[in-house]
Parts: sequence; structure tokens; C-alpha cells
Amino acid sequence: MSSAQATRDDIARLFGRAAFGATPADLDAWTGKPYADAVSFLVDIPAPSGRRAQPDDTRRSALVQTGANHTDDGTIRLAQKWWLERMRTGSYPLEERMTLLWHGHFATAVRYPYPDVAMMLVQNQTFRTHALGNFRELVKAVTVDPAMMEWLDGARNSIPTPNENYAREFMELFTLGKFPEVYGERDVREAARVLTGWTSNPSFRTVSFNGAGHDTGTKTVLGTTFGDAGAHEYEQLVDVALSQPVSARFIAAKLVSNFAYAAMGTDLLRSADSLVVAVADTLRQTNWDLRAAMRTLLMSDEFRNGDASAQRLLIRQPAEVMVASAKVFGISLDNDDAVLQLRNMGQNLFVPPNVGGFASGVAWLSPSTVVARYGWAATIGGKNPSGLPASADTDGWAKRVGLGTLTLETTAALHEYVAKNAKLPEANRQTGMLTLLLTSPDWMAL
Amino acid sequence: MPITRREFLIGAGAVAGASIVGVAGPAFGAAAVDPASANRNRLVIIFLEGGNDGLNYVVPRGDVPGAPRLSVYRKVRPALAYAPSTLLPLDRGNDAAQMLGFNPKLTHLHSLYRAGRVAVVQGVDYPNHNYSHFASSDIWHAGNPTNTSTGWIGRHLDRVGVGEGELRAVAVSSKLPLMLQGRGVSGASIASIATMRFRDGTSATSNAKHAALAALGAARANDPLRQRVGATLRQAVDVVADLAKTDAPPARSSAIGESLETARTLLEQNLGVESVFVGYGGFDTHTTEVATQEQLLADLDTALDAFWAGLNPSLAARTLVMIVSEFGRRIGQASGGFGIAGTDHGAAAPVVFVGPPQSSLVGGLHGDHPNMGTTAAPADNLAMTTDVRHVYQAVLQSWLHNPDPLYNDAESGPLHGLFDEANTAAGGRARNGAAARLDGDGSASATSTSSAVLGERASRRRSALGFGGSGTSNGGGRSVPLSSATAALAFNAFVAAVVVRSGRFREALASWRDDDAAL
Repeated sequence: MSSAQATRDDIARLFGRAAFGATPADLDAWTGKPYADAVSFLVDIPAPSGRRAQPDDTRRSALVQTGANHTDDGTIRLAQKWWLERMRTGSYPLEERMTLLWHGHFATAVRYPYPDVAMMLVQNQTFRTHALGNFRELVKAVTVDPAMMEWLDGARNSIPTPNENYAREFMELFTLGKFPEVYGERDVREAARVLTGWTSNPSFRTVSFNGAGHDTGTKTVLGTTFGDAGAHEYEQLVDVALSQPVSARFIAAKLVSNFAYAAMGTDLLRSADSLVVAVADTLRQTNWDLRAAMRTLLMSDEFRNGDASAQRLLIRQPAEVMVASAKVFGISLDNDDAVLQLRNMGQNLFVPPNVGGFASGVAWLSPSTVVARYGWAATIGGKNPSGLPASADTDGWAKRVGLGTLTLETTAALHEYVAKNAKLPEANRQTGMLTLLLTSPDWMAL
Repeated sequence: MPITRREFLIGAGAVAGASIVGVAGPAFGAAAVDPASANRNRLVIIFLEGGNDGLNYVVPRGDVPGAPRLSVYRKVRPALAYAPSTLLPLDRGNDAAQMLGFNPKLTHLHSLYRAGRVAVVQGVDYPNHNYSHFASSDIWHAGNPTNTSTGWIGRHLDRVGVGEGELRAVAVSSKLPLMLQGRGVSGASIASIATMRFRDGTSATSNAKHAALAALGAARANDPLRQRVGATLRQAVDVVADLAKTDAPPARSSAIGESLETARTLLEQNLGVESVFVGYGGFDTHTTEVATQEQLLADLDTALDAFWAGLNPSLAARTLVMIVSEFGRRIGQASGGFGIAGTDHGAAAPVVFVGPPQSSLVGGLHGDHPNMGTTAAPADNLAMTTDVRHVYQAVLQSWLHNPDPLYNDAESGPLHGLFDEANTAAGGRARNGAAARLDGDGSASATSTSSAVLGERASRRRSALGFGGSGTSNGGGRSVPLSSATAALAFNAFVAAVVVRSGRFREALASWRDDDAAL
């Protein structure tokens, strides 16, 4: 069992994965305190309905107006800057991290003429509202979300020629995973029929159910027969999908691979990974409560310690790296340069490459993304941030950027850099330390 | 005096201590690519992502005896069907009888077809088709319907090896596609030439940081993922150095134009580039198919024309372009009327090759057109008539001169007739002999002369690197002799630089491919 008291390494990992990085103040505040309290700080946040408005909510509302009928890059950048700043400064970092997760899970992209930027911001708020809420409610909301209706053609799914686009991804990507033994082509086609009748009025960002367009015939999906439940039939479809035993496992594996560890050589879905099993159990026992699932995950020994064979690290995605570094050095992300550099790292928020979402894990590692991540580190170094430790104080540096104990190898390589550049002015060496640390294996794989 | 990469890595190794057993890599900033690589054939693979509608790409323009393709096509695609008169006929020799034509937007491709430079393999798919983008795409990348842990080009790299300083396979992308991931060796990915510059320039102060970055990469923490990060850091420093003197190509008006310009530029450098992967997205046309696909194909056609026009002629003479997609689309239309209609995910579709003016590629139609049924009973999907593995195998054998066919299905063999076999034999296929092969999962079972050559090369490299005798390492309970082909895998650029120190590390290598990308 892990100690009840949090170590600096615990806090660095917890905040690094679940809160866009720890600040030195976070490390100071929570090291030595009960670990459960730190988890509770992230997880037990007020429900969205019972909160004061965030200072940037007004700006988001204004962007929904600006973004209506706009899919141009300038407007997309406005939305991206808002979201990056929300990630950097928001009061509820785990909620924002989960919002990013759902954006990748239910991956929807701006596309001419729709979804426009306004729809994407509305969808983004839906992800946020349910981020730590109930997954069942989230899936139901997404199924009739205006942006999703446009993106996966729910708005063009009609009786004589049903469009299977949403039905297929609903099963494969959103609720069940790749399980040919659980569902087949026939289920996909029948589910498309269940979803007929929903139409979209994109310029008003509304959807509506038109009974005359709904296929009232008998449909069979996943062994369940659907009659004519009209506007509620899609909710039944969600319930049927989430009642499949693999569903909780699938979502649990998604959470584990985003927060705890990726499957190194094993299939998290099909192996009896103890953490996936525990998180799936929580989801089932709580009727899909994401807050409970995240508490189970973050409190687990597997999360804190990995397993016997390895620490089991995760490659941080570009948005996390960018936000974490901006947070610890107090650098604003409200500028085009940040957005464009994030794209060079391979992540274009609101424009994932396809419905499969962003890359993950080692797919983020390439010469191009390394050069881009280094470029961002150099950008921060060029802003002459304050409070930099002496160049040779490697542990001071680790703490300054919110990391736990550095590996011996990285420590040695950094010392070597300092020694080899003894003739440089100290300020240059400090910039060098900052740039190197923010591109180091310790920073990229946390 | 510029420090060589090896010098500073050795320095870093000394600092990092016992975790560094050995390192390899090209001289820093001055890649010494094997001159023989200049004589290799080149392959550019364009992947039409999202599922290109094969039926509106190579389109029926008439019924043929026993196959009322045009009649069925018109009946089930009222809002999507092209009028035969608008199509660009595939009418060379025997092809004419098949009554097919290119999409009207493929004018340059059609000219190349008439010049005998385009081969169209019809009805390509794999057994037990999967309609998921992701599953099907993985299978096309892997060239294996049941094991998608490595890519078919990655396994080619495993088999032929990657010399010091070579970028033998590269993707024009910010992420590394499965197709280029081998068991022991992987390609690299480069999004664009212009972005492969360090933002802080090349002053002495900055260069010291870049050297330190590579040293950080060489200093391997005891964690497989951080080792992987480290290897990528080093690779990045290498590639930036390699491309330092390469001008970014001129801007093009389309995404595929940009990508093919980048591909051309990479091919023309002395980097040992053999294969280039280019992803080209947007083909998932569930709706508004005609306008969308026409724009995508028009851009592709223009980009291909520019690619061939710009390519250095001696290189052009040995370059082959291959255009694939994860599936075709359903025969019938989905959702809506004229202008709005699209198609859902389908199955078999054509694979198109474009070769040099004179080459072993045999222009024209290959394989059989899939059955489309009758107007009374139209087929729902196009079923496979040619297995993609046969297509890949023909390319590997006759174009890339891989001495070992890749597939464990001994019955498969290459697609015959795609390449002029007499012509290719002179180019090295004769070396093939009774081929040993790499199994689908990449494990070596090489036994022939070629493996002896490989073993020799590996041991030469090993001794050059100061490695001790051939060891044995345990991976996941399986004993793997570190010799011959296996050694070659382990000693290649990307991974070889890394320490083969423990069974756990080898296990990690094997697991990198299919782990979290799936989630």
C-alpha cells in the first residue's frame, strides 16, 4: 500500500496527469499532506449548476456569437486561444483535462459549412458540463449535439437511405470499442434506422425530432428490439449500448490509458488489468458516475506506483505540455504564436485529424514534434521568466517546472551541459537548462 | 572544430555511466549515407484516408457481356453517377473492352495512363473485410488482416536493414504511421522541411543546447517510454542536421501538393530515402460526395503532375507512386439527393500505380473488376478480387527488391503481371532464390544466403560498435538468439542506438507498436 502522505513525486504525477501540471506552489502545498486530500481537491468540485461564473465565461459566450457560420482559421484560432487560456487558468483543472479527453473521444472537427466554430464551442461546453458527471448523460447529449449531428451526418440520416456514419462510430469509438463479437454490420445498420428522424437547423445550432422522418419499423440492435419510441428511441439505444458488459471496460480502459498508463504490449481491454477492472466496476456500480471512476483511478496503487515491472509512464500530449509549461512560468497562451506552435506539435484543437481523435502515446513522438516541442521550450526561455534556479541546481529546476525527482540519467546530462558551457553567462545557461528540461524525457513522459 | 555526434554521445555515455552499453549513429551533421542507396528504387505511397470511393474513381462507362456495370451503377447511384461521356476512357489495348474510365478530374493521370505509365489493380481488399476506418486502415498499413502490430514497410526495413545515417523510410506527417513501424526498426516522420529547424537558430550557444538535447536522448533512463523519447530526441537532432542545408520547397496550393513537394525534396537529398508515406485525408464522403471527391482528386491530379515534373530525372526513372485507401465505398448511395448524396463505408477498391516513363511497371488494368450484380439484384458491396498482400508482395519483390517475400501465407505470392518480371529479374529479383521470409509478426525465419549476408552485415556493424559477442536476451519468456537477422534488427539506426540490455527492454520494443495508439 502506498503511504497516506503524499510525496513530491506523488503530487508531480497527480497534477501532471490530471491538472495540466503542478506548479511549485502546488508541490509545496500538498507534499506531506494526505494524498487523498489532494485527489479530493481535484475531483470534488462543485457541480456546474452550483457555481459562480468563471471570469472568462463572458468571452466564451461572445465567441459563440462570433463563431456562428464561421469555419475560417482566424475564428478557429480565437476559440483555441480561449480554450488554452481556460486550461491554463481555470479553477477546475481536472474538469478541463476531462473536457480535453472527451473532445478526443467524441472527436468532432470544424468543417465547412458545419460544424462551425459556434457549434464546437457549444459542444465543448457540453463536454465540460458532463466532464466529471454521468457518462450515460454525456453520450445522450452528444448523440443529439448539433456539431455531432453535422459532423457524423445524423442530420442527413433518413428513411429510404439511412446514413450509418454516427451509428458506426457510436459503437466502435464512443461506447463499445472494437469488438466484432459484440456487434456487427447488421447492428450498425439497424442503429442508423433507430436514429432516423433527427434533423438539424445548423444556422440556429438546434436539432429537432421529426416523427414523420423516423423509421417506425421494427429494429434490432445488440439483441434488443426497438419499436416506435419516437424521440426517445435514441436514449434507449444509448442505454442498450451501455448495458453491454464490454462498455464499462472500454470506457475504463480509455480513462486508464489517458491518466495512468498505456497498454505496453497488452490489450487493456481484453486483459484483466486490475486498474481497468476496478474503474469499470466503479462505473457500473455508480451508474456511470465519472467522478467516482476518476477517484478510484487516481487513488489506486497502480496510478501512484505503476506495477511491479515498471513505473508505467505516459507520453504527455502537446496541449498538456504547452499548458503545463505556460502555467509554471506564467506565460499567456492568448496569442497566435502559441496556437501555431501547438499545431506544429501536431495538435489542432477543435480540428482533430478524424473521428478517431488525436494521436496518443508514442504516436506523438517524431522528429517533427520534438523540434516543435523544443521550439516552444525555447520560446518560454526567450521570455526571460523570473525565479530561475542556479543552472547547476538540477533538483531546483525540477521543482521549478513541477516535476518530481529527475532520473539520474537526465540529471547527469544536464550537469554535463552546465559543465561544458561554463564560460557562458549564467543567464544563458539558465535559459539552456529551461529549454532542455522542457524537452527532456522526464518532461515528455510523465 | 565541430564535435561529431559520436564524440559527444560517448561523452554523455561516460557521464551517464553504466546504462550506456553502446551507441551508434551517423556522424553528427554529416550523414555518411551508403552510396549504394542512390541506386535503389524509390516508392511513394499516397494513402487516401477516409475511404476513397473507388466506383467514382475508376468508373463504369458501359455494360460488358455478363456484367451490366453501367446499368447497375446508374440504378443505385441516381444522384452520384457520372455520364459515360464525361469520363476519361481507359482504352489502351485490351483495357478498352472493360468499358471503364477515370473520374473526369484525373486528366493528368489519364495522360500518363495513355503513355503506359499507370497501372490500375482492380478490386483490392483483404479477406473478412472490416468496415471500420481504423481497423481497416490498420490492416492496409500492416498488410496483414490478423496481425496489425507492424507495418509492411516497417517489416521491409527490418529485413533489409537501415544503414548508418539513412532515413530509409519517412512519412510526411507529424506522426509516425503504422506502415513504417517495424519490429526492430522504424521510419521517421517529418511534417515539412521548413519546420525542421530549431527555433533558436544555429549560434554556438544554441548548437550547444542541441548537442545537449541529443545527449539527453542518449542518457537512457530505466524506463522504456523514456528510452523511446530519448531515441526520438536524437533522431530529431540528426534529421535537423541532415536537412540544415535543404531549402524548403515552394508553397503549393493544396495539402497534397505540399506533401508531395516535401516528398520530392526528401527523395532528392542524399539521405538514403527509399520509401515515402504521404497521408491525404478527407475521403470519408458520407455526404456531398461528388463535390468533395472531385476537389480532392483534382488536387491529387495536379500534385502528381507537379511531382513528376519537378523530380530530378535520374531519380524519376526509378520512382514508383502507389495510391491506396482503407476501403472503397458502398455501391449504392446514402442520404439524400443530387449534390447532397454520399456513400457509406464499403469494401474493395482499385489501387493505382504511376511509374517512370520506362520501367518494369506494366501499365493498364490488372485483376478483375468486382461483380456489381444485376439491375434486378444489385450487389451491396464490391468483393475482393485481388488480395492486397499480393500487391504489396509484388512491390516488395519486384520494385524494392526485398529478397524475402513478407508473408507467412506461403500460398499467396506476388500479383503476377504487375511488373515485367524479365525486366525486374535483372534488377535483383534473381537473388531471391528459395526465399526465407519474415513472418507476419516480424520474427525472423531467414535461412537462405540472404540471411548469411544479413548476419555478416550485422556482425560487422556490431563489431564496429564495440559490442561483445552475440548474446542472448530473454523477451517475455521467449529466448531470442541475438544473431543473424535478429541482430540486424537490433542494430539498426533508430533502435540500435539503444542498449539491448535486458529482456524487459526487448519486450518494450515489441510492445511499442500496438499499445496505446488503439485507445
